[in-house]
Amino acid sequence: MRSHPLNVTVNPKRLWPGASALEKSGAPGVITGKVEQIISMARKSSLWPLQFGLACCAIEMMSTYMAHHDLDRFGIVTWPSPRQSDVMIVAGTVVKKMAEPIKLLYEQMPSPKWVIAMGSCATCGGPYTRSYSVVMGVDLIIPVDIYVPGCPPRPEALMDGLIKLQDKIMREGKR
Amino acid sequence: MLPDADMERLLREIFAPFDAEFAYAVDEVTVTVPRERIAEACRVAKEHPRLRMDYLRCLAVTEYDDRYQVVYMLYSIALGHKAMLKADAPKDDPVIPSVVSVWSGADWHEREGAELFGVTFSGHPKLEHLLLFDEFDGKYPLRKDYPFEETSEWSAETHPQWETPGDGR
Repeated sequence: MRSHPLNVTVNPKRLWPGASALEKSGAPGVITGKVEQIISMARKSSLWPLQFGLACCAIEMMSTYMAHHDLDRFGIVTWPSPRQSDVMIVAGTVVKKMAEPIKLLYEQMPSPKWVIAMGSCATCGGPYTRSYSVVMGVDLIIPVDIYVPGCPPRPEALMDGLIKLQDKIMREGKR
Repeated sequence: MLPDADMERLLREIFAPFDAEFAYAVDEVTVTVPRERIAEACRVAKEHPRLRMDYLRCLAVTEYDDRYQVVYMLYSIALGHKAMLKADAPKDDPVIPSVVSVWSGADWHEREGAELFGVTFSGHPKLEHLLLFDEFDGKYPLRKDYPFEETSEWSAETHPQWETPGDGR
Protein backbone atom coordinates (compact mmCIF):
# COMPACT_ATOMS: atom_id res chain seq x y z
CA MET A 1 0.00 0.00 0.00
CA ARG A 2 1.24 3.46 -0.72
CA SER A 3 0.07 7.03 -0.44
CA HIS A 4 -1.26 8.72 -3.54
CA PRO A 5 -0.32 12.40 -4.20
CA LEU A 6 -3.98 13.22 -3.64
CA ASN A 7 -3.84 11.33 -0.37
CA VAL A 8 -5.73 8.34 -1.74
CA THR A 9 -4.44 4.97 -0.69
CA VAL A 10 -3.64 2.92 -3.77
CA ASN A 11 -2.59 -0.68 -4.04
CA PRO A 12 -0.71 -0.94 -7.36
CA LYS A 13 -1.44 -4.64 -7.55
CA ARG A 14 -5.13 -3.87 -7.94
CA LEU A 15 -4.70 -1.21 -10.58
CA TRP A 16 -3.97 -3.36 -13.60
CA PRO A 17 -2.96 -6.90 -14.39
CA GLY A 18 0.80 -7.16 -14.34
CA ALA A 19 1.21 -4.20 -12.02
CA SER A 20 2.79 -6.48 -9.48
CA ALA A 21 5.79 -6.70 -11.78
CA LEU A 22 6.41 -3.02 -11.30
CA GLU A 23 8.84 -2.22 -8.57
CA LYS A 24 7.95 0.26 -5.91
CA SER A 25 10.14 3.29 -5.74
CA GLY A 26 10.92 5.14 -2.58
CA ALA A 27 9.00 8.28 -3.48
CA PRO A 28 5.25 8.36 -2.75
CA GLY A 29 2.96 8.32 -5.79
CA VAL A 30 5.74 7.20 -8.13
CA ILE A 31 5.96 3.81 -9.75
CA THR A 32 8.87 2.48 -11.70
CA GLY A 33 9.14 -0.31 -14.24
CA LYS A 34 10.41 -1.30 -17.61
CA VAL A 35 9.67 1.30 -20.24
CA GLU A 36 7.79 -1.27 -22.36
CA GLN A 37 5.45 -1.89 -19.47
CA ILE A 38 4.86 1.81 -18.86
CA ILE A 39 4.12 2.28 -22.58
CA SER A 40 1.79 -0.72 -22.52
CA MET A 41 -0.03 0.82 -19.56
CA ALA A 42 -0.53 4.01 -21.54
CA ARG A 43 -1.68 2.09 -24.61
CA LYS A 44 -4.20 -0.10 -22.85
CA SER A 45 -5.59 2.79 -20.85
CA SER A 46 -6.66 4.83 -23.88
CA LEU A 47 -7.82 2.39 -26.53
CA TRP A 48 -9.58 4.19 -29.33
CA PRO A 49 -11.69 1.82 -31.45
CA LEU A 50 -12.39 2.77 -35.03
CA GLN A 51 -15.99 3.88 -35.25
CA PHE A 52 -17.82 1.62 -37.67
CA GLY A 53 -20.34 -1.18 -37.56
CA LEU A 54 -21.32 -3.75 -40.14
CA ALA A 55 -24.49 -5.44 -38.91
CA CYS A 56 -26.63 -6.13 -35.86
CA CYS A 57 -23.56 -6.59 -33.63
CA ALA A 58 -22.99 -2.87 -34.08
CA ILE A 59 -26.16 -2.21 -32.09
CA GLU A 60 -24.73 -4.09 -29.13
CA MET A 61 -21.44 -2.27 -29.61
CA MET A 62 -23.20 1.11 -29.53
CA SER A 63 -25.04 -0.01 -26.44
CA THR A 64 -21.69 -0.81 -24.85
CA TYR A 65 -20.44 2.71 -25.55
CA MET A 66 -23.57 4.27 -24.06
CA ALA A 67 -24.21 5.29 -20.49
CA HIS A 68 -25.44 1.95 -19.13
CA HIS A 69 -22.18 0.14 -19.80
CA ASP A 70 -20.01 3.18 -20.45
CA LEU A 71 -16.72 2.18 -22.05
CA ASP A 72 -15.42 5.70 -21.37
CA ARG A 73 -14.49 4.61 -17.86
CA PHE A 74 -11.93 2.23 -19.40
CA GLY A 75 -10.56 5.07 -21.51
CA ILE A 76 -12.17 3.51 -24.58
CA VAL A 77 -13.54 6.21 -26.85
CA THR A 78 -14.69 5.68 -30.44
CA TRP A 79 -12.86 7.58 -33.09
CA PRO A 80 -14.20 8.25 -36.60
CA SER A 81 -10.83 8.11 -38.34
CA PRO A 82 -8.47 5.15 -38.77
CA ARG A 83 -5.44 7.44 -38.49
CA GLN A 84 -5.77 7.90 -34.75
CA SER A 85 -7.38 4.55 -33.88
CA ASP A 86 -5.80 1.66 -31.99
CA VAL A 87 -8.50 -1.01 -32.12
CA MET A 88 -10.75 -2.23 -34.88
CA ILE A 89 -13.93 -3.84 -33.55
CA VAL A 90 -15.32 -5.82 -36.48
CA ALA A 91 -18.95 -5.83 -35.37
CA GLY A 92 -20.98 -7.79 -37.88
CA THR A 93 -21.07 -9.77 -41.08
CA VAL A 94 -18.14 -9.24 -43.43
CA VAL A 95 -19.47 -9.58 -46.96
CA LYS A 96 -17.14 -10.01 -49.89
CA LYS A 97 -18.02 -6.58 -51.21
CA MET A 98 -17.02 -5.03 -47.87
CA ALA A 99 -13.80 -7.03 -47.49
CA GLU A 100 -11.65 -4.65 -49.44
CA PRO A 101 -12.72 -1.47 -47.56
CA ILE A 102 -12.12 -3.27 -44.24
CA LYS A 103 -8.67 -4.29 -45.37
CA LEU A 104 -7.98 -0.72 -46.45
CA LEU A 105 -9.16 0.71 -43.11
CA TYR A 106 -6.97 -1.75 -41.25
CA GLU A 107 -3.94 -0.78 -43.27
CA GLN A 108 -4.63 2.90 -42.64
CA MET A 109 -4.44 2.41 -38.88
CA PRO A 110 -1.02 3.13 -37.39
CA SER A 111 0.82 0.44 -35.44
CA PRO A 112 0.40 -0.80 -32.80
CA LYS A 113 -3.11 -1.91 -33.67
CA TRP A 114 -5.40 -4.65 -32.50
CA VAL A 115 -8.50 -6.31 -33.94
CA ILE A 116 -11.51 -7.68 -32.09
CA ALA A 117 -13.79 -10.01 -34.07
CA MET A 118 -17.19 -9.44 -32.48
CA GLY A 119 -19.86 -12.10 -32.92
CA SER A 120 -20.21 -15.31 -34.89
CA CYS A 121 -20.15 -13.71 -38.34
CA ALA A 122 -16.86 -11.90 -37.90
CA THR A 123 -15.41 -14.96 -36.18
CA CYS A 124 -16.28 -17.69 -38.70
CA GLY A 125 -19.14 -16.61 -40.94
CA GLY A 126 -21.72 -17.63 -38.36
CA PRO A 127 -25.09 -18.59 -39.82
CA TYR A 128 -23.99 -17.66 -43.34
CA THR A 129 -22.02 -20.83 -43.97
CA ARG A 130 -21.68 -21.65 -47.68
CA SER A 131 -23.07 -18.26 -48.57
CA TYR A 132 -22.42 -16.72 -51.95
CA SER A 133 -21.56 -13.33 -50.50
CA VAL A 134 -20.04 -13.68 -47.01
CA VAL A 135 -16.39 -13.99 -46.01
CA MET A 136 -16.07 -16.90 -43.56
CA GLY A 137 -14.49 -14.88 -40.77
CA VAL A 138 -12.61 -11.62 -40.82
CA ASP A 139 -9.40 -13.46 -39.87
CA LEU A 140 -9.15 -14.55 -43.50
CA ILE A 141 -8.42 -10.91 -44.30
CA ILE A 142 -6.73 -9.33 -41.29
CA PRO A 143 -5.07 -10.76 -38.15
CA VAL A 144 -7.43 -10.96 -35.17
CA ASP A 145 -6.43 -10.64 -31.51
CA ILE A 146 -9.65 -11.31 -29.61
CA TYR A 147 -12.71 -13.32 -30.63
CA VAL A 148 -15.93 -12.45 -28.82
CA PRO A 149 -18.52 -15.24 -29.23
CA GLY A 150 -22.26 -14.65 -29.38
CA CYS A 151 -24.94 -13.81 -31.89
CA PRO A 152 -24.85 -10.98 -31.11
CA PRO A 153 -22.66 -10.85 -27.97
CA ARG A 154 -24.11 -8.97 -25.04
CA PRO A 155 -22.38 -5.71 -24.06
CA GLU A 156 -20.85 -7.51 -21.08
CA ALA A 157 -19.22 -9.97 -23.47
CA LEU A 158 -17.71 -7.18 -25.55
CA MET A 159 -16.47 -5.48 -22.39
CA ASP A 160 -14.89 -8.75 -21.34
CA GLY A 161 -13.23 -8.99 -24.74
CA LEU A 162 -11.82 -5.48 -24.38
CA ILE A 163 -10.51 -6.24 -20.88
CA LYS A 164 -8.92 -9.41 -22.28
CA LEU A 165 -7.33 -7.22 -24.94
CA GLN A 166 -5.97 -4.91 -22.23
CA ASP A 167 -4.49 -7.96 -20.50
CA LYS A 168 -2.95 -9.01 -23.77
CA ILE A 169 -1.41 -5.58 -24.29
CA MET A 170 0.15 -5.75 -20.84
CA ARG A 171 1.50 -9.23 -21.61
CA GLU A 172 3.00 -7.88 -24.83
CA GLY A 173 4.78 -5.24 -22.74
CA LYS A 174 6.29 -7.90 -20.49
CA ARG A 175 8.04 -9.69 -23.32
CA MET B 1 -60.64 2.90 -49.90
CA LEU B 2 -62.63 0.33 -51.82
CA PRO B 3 -63.82 -2.97 -50.33
CA ASP B 4 -62.13 -5.97 -51.93
CA ALA B 5 -65.17 -7.01 -53.94
CA ASP B 6 -65.52 -3.53 -55.42
CA MET B 7 -61.81 -3.44 -56.13
CA GLU B 8 -62.03 -6.73 -57.95
CA ARG B 9 -64.99 -5.52 -60.01
CA LEU B 10 -63.12 -2.35 -60.89
CA LEU B 11 -59.98 -4.21 -61.88
CA ARG B 12 -61.95 -6.72 -63.95
CA GLU B 13 -63.55 -3.83 -65.77
CA ILE B 14 -60.30 -1.98 -66.44
CA PHE B 15 -58.09 -4.95 -67.28
CA ALA B 16 -60.70 -6.82 -69.35
CA PRO B 17 -58.92 -6.03 -72.64
CA PHE B 18 -55.61 -7.34 -71.26
CA ASP B 19 -56.43 -11.07 -71.33
CA ALA B 20 -55.87 -11.04 -67.56
CA GLU B 21 -56.50 -13.55 -64.78
CA PHE B 22 -57.79 -12.46 -61.38
CA ALA B 23 -57.21 -13.96 -57.95
CA TYR B 24 -56.84 -13.04 -54.29
CA ALA B 25 -53.61 -13.01 -52.32
CA VAL B 26 -54.67 -12.70 -48.67
CA ASP B 27 -56.55 -9.39 -48.83
CA GLU B 28 -55.33 -8.09 -52.16
CA VAL B 29 -56.65 -8.61 -55.64
CA THR B 30 -54.00 -9.84 -58.03
CA VAL B 31 -54.10 -9.35 -61.77
CA THR B 32 -51.93 -11.61 -63.91
CA VAL B 33 -51.34 -10.26 -67.38
CA PRO B 34 -49.26 -11.61 -70.29
CA ARG B 35 -45.70 -10.39 -70.02
CA GLU B 36 -45.73 -8.59 -73.38
CA ARG B 37 -48.40 -6.26 -72.03
CA ILE B 38 -47.17 -5.69 -68.49
CA ALA B 39 -45.64 -2.25 -69.14
CA GLU B 40 -48.84 -1.17 -70.81
CA ALA B 41 -50.90 -2.55 -67.91
CA CYS B 42 -48.71 -0.70 -65.40
CA ARG B 43 -49.19 2.51 -67.35
CA VAL B 44 -52.96 2.01 -67.21
CA ALA B 45 -52.84 1.24 -63.49
CA LYS B 46 -50.94 4.44 -62.86
CA GLU B 47 -52.94 6.75 -65.08
CA HIS B 48 -56.49 5.45 -64.93
CA PRO B 49 -58.44 8.05 -62.95
CA ARG B 50 -60.16 5.41 -60.78
CA LEU B 51 -56.94 3.48 -59.98
CA ARG B 52 -54.17 6.12 -59.82
CA MET B 53 -51.55 3.65 -58.56
CA ASP B 54 -48.89 6.32 -58.08
CA TYR B 55 -46.69 4.31 -55.71
CA LEU B 56 -44.86 1.08 -56.55
CA ARG B 57 -44.54 -0.45 -53.08
CA CYS B 58 -42.29 -3.26 -54.17
CA LEU B 59 -41.23 -5.22 -57.20
CA ALA B 60 -40.38 -8.84 -56.46
CA VAL B 61 -39.25 -11.82 -58.48
CA THR B 62 -40.42 -15.31 -57.53
CA GLU B 63 -39.15 -18.59 -58.89
CA TYR B 64 -41.60 -21.44 -59.51
CA ASP B 65 -40.89 -24.86 -60.97
CA ASP B 66 -41.76 -23.83 -64.49
CA ARG B 67 -41.47 -20.05 -64.58
CA TYR B 68 -40.31 -16.82 -63.00
CA GLN B 69 -43.00 -14.46 -61.82
CA VAL B 70 -42.52 -10.73 -61.39
CA VAL B 71 -44.89 -9.18 -58.87
CA TYR B 72 -45.70 -5.48 -58.85
CA MET B 73 -47.22 -4.37 -55.54
CA LEU B 74 -49.09 -1.17 -56.15
CA TYR B 75 -50.57 1.43 -53.86
CA SER B 76 -52.49 4.59 -54.51
CA ILE B 77 -51.47 7.37 -52.15
CA ALA B 78 -54.20 9.54 -53.63
CA LEU B 79 -57.04 7.04 -53.21
CA GLY B 80 -55.68 4.80 -50.45
CA HIS B 81 -56.19 1.42 -52.11
CA LYS B 82 -53.81 -1.30 -53.22
CA ALA B 83 -53.55 -4.16 -55.69
CA MET B 84 -51.00 -6.46 -57.27
CA LEU B 85 -49.98 -6.97 -60.85
CA LYS B 86 -48.18 -10.13 -61.91
CA ALA B 87 -46.47 -11.33 -65.05
CA ASP B 88 -44.90 -14.70 -65.83
CA ALA B 89 -41.69 -15.31 -67.72
CA PRO B 90 -40.70 -18.81 -68.89
CA LYS B 91 -37.44 -20.24 -67.56
CA ASP B 92 -35.79 -20.60 -70.94
CA ASP B 93 -36.46 -16.97 -71.86
CA PRO B 94 -36.66 -14.85 -68.69
CA VAL B 95 -37.29 -11.46 -70.25
CA ILE B 96 -39.84 -8.93 -69.00
CA PRO B 97 -40.43 -5.37 -70.19
CA SER B 98 -39.09 -2.77 -67.79
CA VAL B 99 -41.47 -0.40 -66.02
CA VAL B 100 -38.89 2.24 -65.14
CA SER B 101 -40.62 4.59 -67.56
CA VAL B 102 -43.81 4.27 -65.49
CA TRP B 103 -42.36 4.43 -61.96
CA SER B 104 -38.73 5.49 -61.80
CA GLY B 105 -38.57 3.81 -58.38
CA ALA B 106 -38.62 0.48 -60.20
CA ASP B 107 -35.03 1.09 -61.26
CA TRP B 108 -33.21 -0.47 -58.28
CA HIS B 109 -35.85 -3.16 -57.78
CA GLU B 110 -35.33 -4.35 -61.32
CA ARG B 111 -31.55 -4.26 -61.00
CA GLU B 112 -31.78 -6.37 -57.86
CA GLY B 113 -34.14 -8.84 -59.50
CA ALA B 114 -31.87 -9.06 -62.51
CA GLU B 115 -28.68 -9.79 -60.56
CA LEU B 116 -30.21 -12.23 -58.08
CA PHE B 117 -32.61 -14.11 -60.39
CA GLY B 118 -31.24 -13.45 -63.85
CA VAL B 119 -34.48 -11.98 -65.15
CA THR B 120 -33.71 -9.48 -67.89
CA PHE B 121 -35.79 -6.34 -67.78
CA SER B 122 -35.76 -5.21 -71.39
CA GLY B 123 -35.67 -1.47 -71.84
CA HIS B 124 -34.05 -0.81 -68.46
CA PRO B 125 -31.62 2.11 -68.82
CA LYS B 126 -28.73 0.58 -66.83
CA LEU B 127 -29.12 -3.07 -65.88
CA GLU B 128 -25.93 -3.48 -63.84
CA HIS B 129 -25.12 -5.01 -60.45
CA LEU B 130 -26.77 -3.21 -57.56
CA LEU B 131 -25.86 -5.22 -54.45
CA LEU B 132 -23.36 -7.80 -55.66
CA PHE B 133 -19.75 -6.99 -56.32
CA ASP B 134 -18.58 -6.56 -59.88
CA GLU B 135 -16.43 -9.69 -60.08
CA PHE B 136 -19.29 -11.99 -59.05
CA ASP B 137 -19.13 -15.33 -60.84
CA GLY B 138 -21.92 -14.62 -63.30
CA LYS B 139 -24.48 -16.99 -61.80
CA TYR B 140 -27.67 -15.95 -60.07
CA PRO B 141 -27.53 -16.76 -56.35
CA LEU B 142 -31.24 -16.73 -55.51
CA ARG B 143 -32.14 -19.30 -58.15
CA LYS B 144 -32.97 -22.74 -56.79
CA ASP B 145 -30.25 -24.38 -58.88
CA TYR B 146 -27.47 -22.10 -57.67
CA PRO B 147 -24.49 -24.38 -56.90
CA PHE B 148 -23.75 -23.52 -53.27
CA GLU B 149 -21.29 -26.43 -53.05
CA GLU B 150 -19.10 -24.64 -55.55
CA THR B 151 -19.19 -21.35 -53.66
CA SER B 152 -15.61 -20.29 -53.19
CA GLU B 153 -14.43 -19.21 -49.79
CA TRP B 154 -12.50 -16.02 -50.11
CA SER B 155 -9.29 -15.48 -48.20
CA ALA B 156 -5.94 -13.82 -48.58
CA GLU B 157 -4.87 -16.92 -50.53
CA THR B 158 -7.53 -16.53 -53.20
CA HIS B 159 -7.11 -12.75 -53.20
CA PRO B 160 -3.40 -11.93 -53.02
CA GLN B 161 -4.17 -8.22 -52.78
CA TRP B 162 -5.36 -8.92 -49.23
CA GLU B 163 -2.02 -10.33 -48.13
CA THR B 164 -0.73 -8.37 -45.18
CA PRO B 165 2.96 -7.51 -45.36
CA GLY B 166 4.68 -9.13 -42.40
CA ASP B 167 2.23 -9.82 -39.62
CA GLY B 168 0.69 -6.40 -40.02
CA ARG B 169 2.08 -5.04 -36.79
